[in-house]
Amino acid sequence: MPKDPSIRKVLIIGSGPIVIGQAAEFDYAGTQACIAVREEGVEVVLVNSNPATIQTDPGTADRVYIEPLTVESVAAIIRKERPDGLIASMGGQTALNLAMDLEIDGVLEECGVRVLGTSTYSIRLAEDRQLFADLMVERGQPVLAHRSVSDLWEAVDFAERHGFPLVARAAFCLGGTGSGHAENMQELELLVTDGLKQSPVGSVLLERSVKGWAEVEYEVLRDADDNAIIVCNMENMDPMGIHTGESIVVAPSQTLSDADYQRLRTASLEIVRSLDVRGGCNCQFSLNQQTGDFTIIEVNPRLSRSSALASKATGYPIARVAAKIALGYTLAELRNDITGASACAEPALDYVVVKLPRWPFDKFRNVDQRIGMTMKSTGEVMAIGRTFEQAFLKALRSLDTRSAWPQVSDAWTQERISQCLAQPTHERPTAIYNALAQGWSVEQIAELTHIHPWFLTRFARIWDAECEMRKPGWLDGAGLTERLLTAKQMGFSDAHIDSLTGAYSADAVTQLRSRLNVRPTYKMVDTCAGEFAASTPYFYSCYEHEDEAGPLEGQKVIVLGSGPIRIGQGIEFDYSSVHAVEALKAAGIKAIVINNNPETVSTDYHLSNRLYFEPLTLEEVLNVVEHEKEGLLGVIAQFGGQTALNLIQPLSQAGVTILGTSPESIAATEDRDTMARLCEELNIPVPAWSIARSQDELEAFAPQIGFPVLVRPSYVLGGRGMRIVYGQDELRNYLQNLGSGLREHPVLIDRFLEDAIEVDVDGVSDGHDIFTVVMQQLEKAGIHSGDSACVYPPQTLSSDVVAQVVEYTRSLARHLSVVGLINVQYAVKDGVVYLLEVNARASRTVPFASKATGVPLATIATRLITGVPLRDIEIKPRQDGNVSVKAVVLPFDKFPGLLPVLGPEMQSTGETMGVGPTFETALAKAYEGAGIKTARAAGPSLLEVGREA
Amino acid sequence: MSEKMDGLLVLADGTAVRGVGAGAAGVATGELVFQTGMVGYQEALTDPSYAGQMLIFTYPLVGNYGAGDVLSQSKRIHPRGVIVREMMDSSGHRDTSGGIDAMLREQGIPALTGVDTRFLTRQVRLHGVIPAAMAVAPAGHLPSEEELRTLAASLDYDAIDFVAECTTPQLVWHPPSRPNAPRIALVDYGAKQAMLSYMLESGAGVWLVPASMPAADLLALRPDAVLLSNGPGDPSRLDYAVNTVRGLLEEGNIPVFGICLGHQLLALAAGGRTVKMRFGHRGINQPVLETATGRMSVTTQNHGYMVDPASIPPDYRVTHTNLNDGTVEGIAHVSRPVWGVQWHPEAHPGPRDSLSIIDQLLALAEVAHA
Repeated sequence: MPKDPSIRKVLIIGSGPIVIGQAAEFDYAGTQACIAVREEGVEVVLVNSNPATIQTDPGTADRVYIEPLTVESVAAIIRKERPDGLIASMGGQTALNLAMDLEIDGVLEECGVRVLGTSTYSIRLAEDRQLFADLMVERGQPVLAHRSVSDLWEAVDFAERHGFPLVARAAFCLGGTGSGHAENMQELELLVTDGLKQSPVGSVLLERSVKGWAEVEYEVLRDADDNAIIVCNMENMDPMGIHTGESIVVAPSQTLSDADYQRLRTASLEIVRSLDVRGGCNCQFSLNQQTGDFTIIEVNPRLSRSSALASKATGYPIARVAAKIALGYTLAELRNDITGASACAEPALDYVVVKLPRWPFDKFRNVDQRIGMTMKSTGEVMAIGRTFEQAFLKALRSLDTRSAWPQVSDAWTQERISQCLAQPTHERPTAIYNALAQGWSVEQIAELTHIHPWFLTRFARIWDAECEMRKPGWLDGAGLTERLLTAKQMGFSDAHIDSLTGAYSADAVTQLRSRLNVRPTYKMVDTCAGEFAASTPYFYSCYEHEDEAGPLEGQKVIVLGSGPIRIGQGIEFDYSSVHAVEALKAAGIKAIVINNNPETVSTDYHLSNRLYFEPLTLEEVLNVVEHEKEGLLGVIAQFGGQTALNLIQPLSQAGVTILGTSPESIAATEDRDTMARLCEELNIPVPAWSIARSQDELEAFAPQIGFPVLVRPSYVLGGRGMRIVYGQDELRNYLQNLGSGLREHPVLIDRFLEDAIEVDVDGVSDGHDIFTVVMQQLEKAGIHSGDSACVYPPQTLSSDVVAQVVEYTRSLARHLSVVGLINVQYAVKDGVVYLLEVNARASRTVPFASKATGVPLATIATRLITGVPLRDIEIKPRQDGNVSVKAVVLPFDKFPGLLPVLGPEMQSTGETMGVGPTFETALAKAYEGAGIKTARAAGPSLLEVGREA
Repeated sequence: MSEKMDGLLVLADGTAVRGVGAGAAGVATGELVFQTGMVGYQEALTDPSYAGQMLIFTYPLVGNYGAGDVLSQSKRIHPRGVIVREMMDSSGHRDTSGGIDAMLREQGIPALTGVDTRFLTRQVRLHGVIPAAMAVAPAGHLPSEEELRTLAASLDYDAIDFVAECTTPQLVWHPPSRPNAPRIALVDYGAKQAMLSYMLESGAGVWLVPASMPAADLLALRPDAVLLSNGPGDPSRLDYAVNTVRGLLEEGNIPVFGICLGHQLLALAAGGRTVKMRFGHRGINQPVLETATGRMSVTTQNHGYMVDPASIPPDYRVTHTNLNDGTVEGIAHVSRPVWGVQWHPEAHPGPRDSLSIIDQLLALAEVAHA
C-alpha cells in the first residue's frame, strides 16, 4: 500500500529533556523522522521541551513548538494545528505515554487525529505486562510465570506460590525505574512498595527470575501489510539481571547458532504480528544456553536506544523507514537509500560492533556503583572492528575515561575480584581482566559472572597478547612488522603498546608504524557485507589489506565530535557539531565527522559528507587527518566539548591546522596567569585568586585570599571536585579526598563572591567584531552554571551592567583573537562585574541561546571559522519581547545515595526550555517541561519559536 | 593443528592473497564465491550446492559455537576450500562437540584465515565469480603463485557435473510415520537434510531419488508429489535431469515443485533458459516478493545461475521476484500444480519464513493420496 494521501500534516512528539534512560537517541530518531516525513510533502509539526536538540531547530520541521510535554500543552497545539496524524514512536517512553494520555483526554478524537504507525491499543497491549503475557501464552510463545499486582498482599501471595528469586518491574516506567531482584520477602516488600509508587498506573509485574541467562535483542520492522524483517540482533555480554542499557552489547550475536538465532527471529516476528506493530519494535529475550530454552522478557513497540544502536551498527536507517511505514508505505515499496537494494534486505554485517555504557561514577563517587536492573549510565560509545578484540579495545578508549585500556593493578585482590565478578559494578571488565592476569580460568570467571566463555576467551586473548608485548625485545628484531600488524588488528593503540613495551618515547610506536608502513585501512559500513556497491559515506578503521575510503575530493574540514554523553558534556555539543557540519556543507566545503556516540545526530551517516566512526584519540584523529590530507583545510575542535578541546594542543603540535581560535589563544584562556595579566591590561575585575600545587600551599594561600573560597582542580570538566569552602577546617584532606586522576592537577583557589548574580555570555566573534547573547543565571553564584536555571533576556540586571558585560566580552574576544564561539561567565556583585571564566569554545548554553534569540550561533561561528567576516553575516535576533527560561533535570531519583543539593559540581543530565510573554510564564513552562509541578493559573499560551521562511 | 601452516590463495587473474593456513594441508581449486550469513556456517559448508566452489564467509568470525553432527545438512563439507577472516575455537554449545577447524581438517578441506575477506568479496562483486586455487602447507612449503594461478586458470567450473557427486547413489525409501500419509519423491541433486527432515516430520513417506533416474522409473514409484531439490552447478548441462523433469511434466497431473537448481531444471524442462549470474545470491537475507499479493519473505539463497525472465514459457508465469535486483525467484504453471522457487524454503541456515511453501506441496500430496 503506498503512502496514505489523507495524511497531509503530522505531529511528531519528542522525548523532552535528557534523563538517564532517555538520551540523544530520540533526537536522532525524531530528526530522521522529520526529514523522512517532510520529503513526502507532508507538513511536520514538532513538539519537544528540550532546546538542545536538532529536531527543535527551525529547519527540521515546518512548525516547532518548544513546549512542555504535558497533555495540556500538547492538546492546545493539536487544537491549533489540527494535524491529520500523530507519530509517537520517535520520542521514547515519554512520547508514547503522552500519546496514550492524549487519547484518554479525548483531544485526538475531538480533532480527528489518528495515531500513525503502531496503534495505542497495541502499545497498551505491549506495555501492560499482564495483557502482554496473556497474549504471548495464547500465541504459544514462552513467558515466565508472572502476575501483575497492585498491592503488597498479592505480591506476597505470588512469592509464596512460585518462590524466589523474583523480578519486580513497575509498569510503564522508563529505564528500569522501580525494577529489581528480590531474593526474599524482605527485599520483595521494599521493591514492590517502591515500584507501586513509581508506576504511573500503580502496578508492578512479578516474574520468575532468569538471572544468569543470556540476554538477546532483536530489532524488528513491520508494515501494515504484515511484512516484517529483522534489522539487527544484538547479544548482551552481561547476562540477564543487568539492564541492556547497562550491558556491554555486541552486534551481531556471537554465541548463538543458526538454530538459536532463527528460533528467536521467528518468535520476534510472531510478537510483532500478534501486536500488529506498524513500525519499529525491540524484542528482548532471555536464552538458557545450556538447555536452549528461551523466554520473552520485554517488548518496546517504538524506536529506542537499541534501535539507534542497531541503526549505527548496521547502517540501516530504522527511524526513517519506520516513519515511512507510519505514512502508509510497505517495506516492499521502500528502498535502502544507500545500496539501492530493497529496504527488506536484512542487513549483513562483516565486522563486529561493541557498545559500552558510560557511567557517571567519576562524578558521583559516593553512590551505589553496582549495576543491575536500573539504568545508571548517562550515555554510551560504540566501536567497530574486524575482530571482537579490536572493537572492544576501540570502544574502551572511546569512553574518554582515565583508563584508555584495561589496567592490571595490585589493588585487585582476590577478594575484590570475586566480589566484583559476582556483584557487578562498572569496573567488571577490569575485574575480569585482573582475574585473568592472576591466573583465574575462563571457567571460574564464567561461573561467577555467567558471562559466556566465548567473551571471556576474547579477554584472555587480549591478556595473552599483553604478556607477549611485555617481554623484552618485543619492539626489536625480526618479524616486528607482523607483530605490530597483529597487535593493531587486535585493537591495541600505539600508546597502549608504548606503555606495555616500555618504548623510549611517547610516540615511539607511532613512528615505528609509520616507518614500517603499518597503517590503518578504512572499511565501509554498507548494510550488505559488500554484496552491493554502496555509497554510504560511513567508515571505520581496521588493519586489513584494502582501503575503501579514497580521500574525499575537494576542500574539506574535519569536525571533532564530543563522544559519549556524560554529565557536563551532553547533547548540547552534538547540537553544535551538527550545525558546524551543515554550515560547512552550505559553504561548499566537505564536512568530515569523527565521533563514537551511536545515539547522536552527528553520527547519522546522512548528515556529513563522510563519517569516521572512531575513538576520539590523538592516534585515531591523526590517522584520519593523514588519510584525508589532500585538500584538508584543517580541524574544527571547538564544538566537541572537553573531549575535542583536549586534542587541540597535541594535534597542533603534530602540525595539524586547527581552524578558528588558535591553539595559543585557547591555551591562554586555560592559563590563569595569562588571563590575570590580560584582565589587568583590559581593566576587567576578577575575584582574588591563587594556584596551589600541594595541600600545604592550599592551606597557606586560601586564608590570604579570604574565605569563602572556591577550590577546584584545574583542567577539569563540569566542575568535578569543585567545593565552596568557608573556613580552614573544610580544606583539610581536600586533595586526598579528590581521588586519583584529579589530585594530580594544580588546584585553583578563587575568592567566592557570596550572593552575587552569575551571568553567562555566549558570543560569536571573528577576532574583531562580536555578537553576544547575555543570559542571567537564576541560581546564586556557586551553583554550577550547568545546573542553574537561566533566563534570556536578563531580568534584574541594569542596562549598564549588561553593557559592561558585552564590552568586556568584546575586548576579551578581540585580545584573544577569538574566531568562532566564546563563552564567558561573570559574577555581578554590588554593581561590579567580575570575570569568572573564559572558554573559547562551544558552551552548554549555545542551543538555548540560539533558540532564545533565533540566531543560530554555532552556524554563524562556523561561517566565521571559514573566513567570512561577521559584518557580512546578517544577524537578526528575534524582537518579539518574549522571555526564555532554561531549567534543568537532575538524576537524584536514580541515585538514592546522592544528596539532592545543588553545588559547584554539575549533576544535571538535561534541560528544558520555556518561552512566554513574561518571565513567570516562561519559568512555569520550563519547570513543567522538567517535570516540576508548578501552579499556573492561566491556560497555556503557545509560542511557535521556529517556522521556516 | 600443532604445526603452523601457511596459506595461499591465487585467483585466475593472478591476484594472490597470503594468510595463515587452517583445516587440512593440501591444494584445491574451486570457483570463488562469497556468502553473507552471520550464522549457520556449518549448515552452509555442508550444503551440497557449494560443491566445486571456494567459499568466502563475509562475516569475519567463523566457528564461534563449534561444530556438531546435528547441524550438518549432508554427510560432508562441499566447498573445496574455505576463506575466513578469523577461525574461532569453539567455546561450547549444547549442539556441538568440536571445532570447525577440526572438522575441515578431518574432511581434508584447506582453509585460509587471517586475510582481508572483504577485499576478496569486493573482487568477486566487481569482477564476478572467478576460478581460484588454494594451498595450505607447513611454513615454507607452499607452491608458487604461478603454479596455483595455472591450476586456477585450468578449472572450468561450468563444465563439471557436480550433481553426480552429490546425489544419492541409490534409491532410498523413508517410510511414513502415520497411516494414510502421502508419498513424496525427493529428487536428490544435492538436497539438504533439513528438507528431508521437514517432510518426514509431517509424517509423509519419502523416496530419495537419484538424479539420474528416468521419469518412467520415478513415476513407477507412484509418488503423490515430486520435489526437485537444490544442487550445485550449471543446470543447462544436466540434460539427463532436464529429460526426467520433462517426463514428469508430460505425465500430467502429478504435483511438481522445484527449489533452487530444481526450479531451474523445471524452467528448462518447460522450454525456458537459464543464465549464469555475475556473482549470484548467497546468503540468508534475500528479500523475495510474491507478485500476486505484494507479500515479502526473507529467504536463504545459494545460486549462481538463474532463470532468464525473457524465456518464461507461455503457459508459465513469474510468481516471485527478488526485491533487490528484480531477478526471477519463482515460476508456476498457469493451471497445473507445477511450480518452482529459486530459494531454499527449508532454511538451515536462515529464516524459516517460507516453510509454508513446502506445506503447500505436502497438502497437494495429501489430496492426491486420498
